[in-house]
Amino acid sequence: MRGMASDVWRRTVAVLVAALLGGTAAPDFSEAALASAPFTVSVAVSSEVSRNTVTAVIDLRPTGALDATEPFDLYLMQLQGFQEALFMTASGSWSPRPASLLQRISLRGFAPVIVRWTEGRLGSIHLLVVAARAGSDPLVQANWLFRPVLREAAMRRRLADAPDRRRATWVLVGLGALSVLAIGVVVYVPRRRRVSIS
Amino acid sequence: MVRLAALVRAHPDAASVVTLILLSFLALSRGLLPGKVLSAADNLFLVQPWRSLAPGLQPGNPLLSDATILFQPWLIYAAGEIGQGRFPLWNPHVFAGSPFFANPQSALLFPLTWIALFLPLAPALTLIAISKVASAGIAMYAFLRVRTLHPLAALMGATSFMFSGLLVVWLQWSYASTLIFFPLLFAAVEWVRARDGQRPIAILALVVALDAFAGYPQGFLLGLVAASAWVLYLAWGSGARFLIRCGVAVALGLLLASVQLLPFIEYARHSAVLAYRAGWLPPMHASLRSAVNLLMPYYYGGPTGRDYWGEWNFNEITASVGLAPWVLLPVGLLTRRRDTAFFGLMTFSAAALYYGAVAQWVDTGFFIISFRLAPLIVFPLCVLGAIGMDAILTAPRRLTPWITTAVKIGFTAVVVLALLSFMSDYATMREGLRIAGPLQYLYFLSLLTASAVLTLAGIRESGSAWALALILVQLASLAPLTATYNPIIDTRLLYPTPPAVAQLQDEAGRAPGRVLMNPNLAMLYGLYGVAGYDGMIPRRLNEVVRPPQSQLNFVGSGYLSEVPIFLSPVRDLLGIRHILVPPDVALDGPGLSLHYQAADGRIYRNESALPRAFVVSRARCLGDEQTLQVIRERAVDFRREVLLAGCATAPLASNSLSNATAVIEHYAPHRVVISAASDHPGYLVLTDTWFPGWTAHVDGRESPIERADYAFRAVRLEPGRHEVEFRYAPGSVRLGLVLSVLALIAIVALGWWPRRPPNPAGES
Repeated sequence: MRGMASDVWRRTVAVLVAALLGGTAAPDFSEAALASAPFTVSVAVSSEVSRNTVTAVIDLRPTGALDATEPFDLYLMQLQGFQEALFMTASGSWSPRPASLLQRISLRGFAPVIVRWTEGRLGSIHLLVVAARAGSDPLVQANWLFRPVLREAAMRRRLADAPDRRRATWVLVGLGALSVLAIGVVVYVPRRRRVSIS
Repeated sequence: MVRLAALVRAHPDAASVVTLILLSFLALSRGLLPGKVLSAADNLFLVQPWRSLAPGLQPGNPLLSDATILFQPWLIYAAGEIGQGRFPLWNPHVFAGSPFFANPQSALLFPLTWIALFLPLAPALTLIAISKVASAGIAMYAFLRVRTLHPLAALMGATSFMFSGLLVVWLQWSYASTLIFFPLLFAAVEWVRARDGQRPIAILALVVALDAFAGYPQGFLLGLVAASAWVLYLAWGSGARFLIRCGVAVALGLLLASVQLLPFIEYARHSAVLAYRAGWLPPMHASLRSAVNLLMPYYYGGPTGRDYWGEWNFNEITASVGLAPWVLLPVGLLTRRRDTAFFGLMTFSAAALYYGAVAQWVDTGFFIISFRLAPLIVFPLCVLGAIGMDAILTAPRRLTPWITTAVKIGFTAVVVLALLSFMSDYATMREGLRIAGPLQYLYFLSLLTASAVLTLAGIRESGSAWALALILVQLASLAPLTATYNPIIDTRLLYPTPPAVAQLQDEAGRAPGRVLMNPNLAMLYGLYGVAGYDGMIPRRLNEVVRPPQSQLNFVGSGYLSEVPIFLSPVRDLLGIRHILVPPDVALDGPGLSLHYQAADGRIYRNESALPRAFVVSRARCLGDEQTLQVIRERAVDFRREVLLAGCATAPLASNSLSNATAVIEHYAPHRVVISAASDHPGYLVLTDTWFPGWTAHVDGRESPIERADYAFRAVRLEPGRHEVEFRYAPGSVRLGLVLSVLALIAIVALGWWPRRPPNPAGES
């Protein structure tokens, strides 16, 4: 019986490894067209009373395979669905028209870029960092030098900042108590086995 | 009642299938009431000119706009063409003409589409939706039964799958049609393994072909990959013969689908979406914390309440399967029954990709968008839930005390995680959720608790009443999304004709030409448009129309909308004679004059528009890059000159064409006849989209079609009067048809092949 079970696991793992290996062919397909971005992009969010402060840091990742001299414009976009985006301007505000964060820079001598803004929206935002050939349209894929980097950030509000904090806390305490009660009910159900049907 | 119970016990499978069909009708049949329809057509009333017909109308679900402007208009167009005795290979009403049948999402060969071809639209739309749900349930039931699960366990799996969030939210897309085939492919593979003879091979081949016809290539591909993994899993110890039989079946299925697949491949090669995705596809995924909506689908609000605050959009992150499978999961996994390892790992690995667990190591998207991996989470979860119930019903000896403990631990873990998530998000979600968060949480908690208590009762006691009760609880957990997501609307909202559109029809009748109006909708009113919305936009038209300052096209498919077309350097070349805009939009420019103004819109006539067919005396040969550059710099006079790609014939350099005329004598989707005359050699330019499969005959003799002005058609003419006939009869369809017919003959022969006598030492 034990042998049969381990055989099932063996063949399952083998099949899934084969599927995963097959799946790696798909990323290779696009890899042929655009090089991996030489940047790391990190996004940090700090909550305040009615808004969130977002800090995005774009830093260079050491890589030797890229042309370090070709100048490019750096764009930080905030996606508004799949068809629209806002652009972070050099002055730190969002623009509906294409605007670059930095112009005519190159990988050689690239200094970390730190962008900070306050975000009034709640939920999730999606940021896209694009490096496009200097002076070109950043929305045309042919102008990109690297694969864009996509990052998501969650914009939440803290309970401590809620105006009716006391009422909200009581609601959560009530739900917590009901959850404990539910767990108690389920745990209390006796574990006695039924009579086996031979 | 007693007699009915006895009947059900005697025929559990028939009773289950009837139940699944009844449940499907129960969920959606409000759409069959007189004057009602299951449709998202009310989204049209968000924009002019339709908005003025019903001011203030709030559509039921704005996120279903693909159904509003794509799938349902396609059904209407296809039904109209079939009604006129034409098979709709080409759609001349959108994108200045584009392949229709070759676009797999038109799904013309899928049986459920045929409902709309032969029934009135309103009942057809509802019946298609009901049929999809019922088919998914029956397919899942069939798979679980061929894996010898208890009928009640199979019923649990079937109801979980057919009303899963995934199927419900994508119900009006072709994507939902391909979901039916996940269990059906697995079942067919199992038939090939378990039954001797050739008939199972024929059945698997048919299932593969139907999956291809269902209309969503990504879903089809994913189903085939999953079924191939299943084949490999079953092949371990079954011998090479099983693998060969499956291979033959899949090959036959693909051959049978050639008539759809070959034109699709041809269109994909010429589409904007493939060109874009070959370069980059965003590595989108959901965050792990968004997995809480598996338990409470409206946790992040939703499009129906216009209160969504989650990631991407509601449809992309919805993969709920109800609550009972979560409680049954530990039973299924710990009883170590057949298949649990396979389906458990399938769920785990797909969830890792879907929720971005490997995103930090892989910075590129898959050719398939990560969100499309949701079926590989939903399908195996439903299977595992069913296996869990089956273990309790049929294998009491394996139900060790440890399993009871595992159910309790699993339940506690789910509740604690949901509570922690809720506490973390409560301050954020209170911003105007239509279904209050605490109410959702209480609903979840009570149904999950009921599921756990019933499961534990099943483990403790004999009998099957607990299982029936658990199925009811499961249906209750699936009901909120099923009952609310796909709106039932008044049939009067089903694509009426506003006064502005009626006027546009009238104007277009008097001064023929193309119109510029809302994407795709020209096809509903017999008008010829350029603006469109589709997964597969003809690449060259897209490139020549869009201005250099383009718009974001994040996944490579989407709109070719009015503004870029209006600003395009080829607006006049496209022959856009009339432009419909909202009443508060004023257009200005050479040749534009206002011809209609009312509360629902304005119609401008563009006197600068070229006729759709005309003759020019000059021609230049340019490469594609140069052609685009010349056009974008507006450095060409399209009235006098044509830019040719390839140049199979010698270009012309004459400066004058004293008496050149071109009159469209006959215009049908697949056949255009033009009378042309000129006193010099020239080129007849037809500003319909150039595409492989079109042929031209000048005075009955075949003449090559040149690609003109980057995206259109031209034919060389000698001096004199000529009749030029353009015909669309793509070789991909003809070759595909031949291959499909041959495959069909082979499959029918296999199906009728006499079964061999059982092998005494045969496989089980």
